[in-house]
Amino acid sequence: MAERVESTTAMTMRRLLSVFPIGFVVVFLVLPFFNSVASFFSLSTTREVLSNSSMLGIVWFSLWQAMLSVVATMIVAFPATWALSRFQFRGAQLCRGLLTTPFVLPSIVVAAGVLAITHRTGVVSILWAHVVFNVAVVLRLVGPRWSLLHPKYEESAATLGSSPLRTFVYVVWPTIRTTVRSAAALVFAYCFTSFGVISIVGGFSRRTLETEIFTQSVRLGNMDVAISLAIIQMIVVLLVFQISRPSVQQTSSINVVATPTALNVKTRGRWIVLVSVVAPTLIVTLPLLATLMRSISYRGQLSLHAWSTVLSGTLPRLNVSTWKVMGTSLVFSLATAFLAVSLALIASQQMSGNHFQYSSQHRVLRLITSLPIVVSAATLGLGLVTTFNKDPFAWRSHTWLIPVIHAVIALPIAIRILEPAIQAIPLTLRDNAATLGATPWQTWLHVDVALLRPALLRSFGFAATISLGEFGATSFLTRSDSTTMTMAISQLLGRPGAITQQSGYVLASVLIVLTVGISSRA
Amino acid sequence: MLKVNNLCVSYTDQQIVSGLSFEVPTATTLTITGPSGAGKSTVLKAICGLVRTSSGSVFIDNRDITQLPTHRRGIGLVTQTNDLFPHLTVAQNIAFGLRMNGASNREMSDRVREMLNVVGLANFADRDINSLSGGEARRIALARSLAPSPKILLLDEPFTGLDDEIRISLMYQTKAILASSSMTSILVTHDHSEAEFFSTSALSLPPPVEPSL
Repeated sequence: MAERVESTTAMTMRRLLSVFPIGFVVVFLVLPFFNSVASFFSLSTTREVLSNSSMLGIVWFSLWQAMLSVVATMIVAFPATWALSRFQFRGAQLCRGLLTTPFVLPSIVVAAGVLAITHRTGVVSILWAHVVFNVAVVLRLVGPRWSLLHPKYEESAATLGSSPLRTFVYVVWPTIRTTVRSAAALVFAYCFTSFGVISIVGGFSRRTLETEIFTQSVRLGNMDVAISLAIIQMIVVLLVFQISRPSVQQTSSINVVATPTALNVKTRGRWIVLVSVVAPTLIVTLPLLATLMRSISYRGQLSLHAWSTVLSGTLPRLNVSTWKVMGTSLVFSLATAFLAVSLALIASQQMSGNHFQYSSQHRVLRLITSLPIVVSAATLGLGLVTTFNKDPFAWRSHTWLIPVIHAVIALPIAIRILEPAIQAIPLTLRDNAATLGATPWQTWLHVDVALLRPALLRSFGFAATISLGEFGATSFLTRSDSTTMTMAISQLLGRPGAITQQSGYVLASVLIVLTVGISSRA
Repeated sequence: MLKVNNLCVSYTDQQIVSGLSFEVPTATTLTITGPSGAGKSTVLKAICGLVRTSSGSVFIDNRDITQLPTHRRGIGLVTQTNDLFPHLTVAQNIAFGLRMNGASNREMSDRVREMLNVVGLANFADRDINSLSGGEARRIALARSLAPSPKILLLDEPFTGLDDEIRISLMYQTKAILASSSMTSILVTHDHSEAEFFSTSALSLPPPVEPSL
């Protein structure tokens, strides 16, 4: 593509801008990770970890609970995805909303909700919590693809004598399998590196690589063991993403039409469709309802005592007030959103710019800003505590580091929201602005930013909710003066006393309302 | 006066424009014709700085503007795709260039009213641009380009895609505007009747050279 004539200053500024997102991720993710590896990694420790039966048990449990979570998620999500992609009926939109909302909820809140129903820690609770979260991933990834498969192909197969099962295998599956595989890989990665869920509903006996990295590094001080576990975990995640990477042939869009098509529901099949949607919706929403119920029930009776305690500013057994905790979380979420969206805007603009496309700088920017997806929260936390604990970079106890790390985690998602929106702005609009006398800065402000307002709001909302719900990396950094809502919920639920635990559910309910409020407005 | 001297433009090793030279005296219109792929639109983009030239120079009133960025050239452009800003009203679209150059609200509103009168759409100021017909949108695009009083106006097939009645009406209107404002302009078209209608001078580009196998 041809380059536009631009001043040396504008060209230099444009090139320099990409330094910000790259520098940010390098300083707060890449360097801490490599520093922790360089400082503590040893082959002998890794060999010991891999020959220790207790550690191997943790690796094995991490793997099979994640695989089982993928299977359970698919069993719940697949029928709902089919029904919502194929049929239009009253309430479909509401069910879609209810099924996708938990994705933005804090893991710790979902886990608390499951615990409120099952009253016990263990594998069933872990699987349920993971399903609640990840149904949205399948619905959002597979749903649009399934909607694009024109029903005429299934009808043609039926007229040729194909049974519904064979039609699915030979017509539907080849079209959706790539996205199903991508969704399965993503769900696996989320469950394999899940921290909040395992911490709350895993109990003492159920440990995964992610929780063990935290235990070994923060509680036991065995940094070498923790880093070996982090590397094993990262290798598994990278392998899964590599295996699930679609080939060119598989992403072919042959037999796909441009607009989703709705089928008329036959009376005979109506119940199947409704059950396919209602059952998953109940599975997903029950824990959230249970959280609200637990917040108003005390020993089997309706009681608003915990609400009045929490709203009076007291959090039982914690040395911090409700308002301080909520204020901290809100300030962190605003700071995170501002930082992540600003950097995402710069990165997306650079990656979408015609000057920049396909260049090596573009590839570096994309690679670096994608890294937070493959590095788990505990690995990130581990890198931070080992790197930022010595002068002049003893930032570990600095409050500002928490929203900065939340921004690192939120950055890839903010980019994925903004980049398509930027690419959708016709280049000719910018060209016209320039011919009308707008400087590059004015064009960016009056054309790009003005047109990106909805995407900016969405990415701001997403980044804010990520910060509100972040638990893993925060666990490594938080101090009593920077306790966030998720940390307070974890502490309240983990301590004895009915009113203490009920207060945890009150705070979790407030967090649900906050998160849903922010994400629905964004 | 606009002067183009030995202009060459290439995209990824493919020469699109090769050694083109011409002059457009002040207050005249040059029409550029030629088959598809001949580089007509590329010539306009090179003149207003939207593509970088591989060699050659562009002068306005003997001042070399080849290395100047687009926003500092004072050259207006109207294309067949209009490219009105979708988030702005008709008045805000027309005022865009004035606003970028720091005009006051009063200056902007006066000029917008004047431009709307010139293109015959006096009551359209507050209209959403999505509610405009093809002909109306093209008139607004013309008004928007004229509002900041550019030194040169480039018209890239501005009458394409309109039905005959609107096209002819807009051609007459545009010619009258160019004459009344003594504007120097270049019209790119593939339609010879349009070229004859506007032309003070004409330039025909040769067909593109097929790459050798």
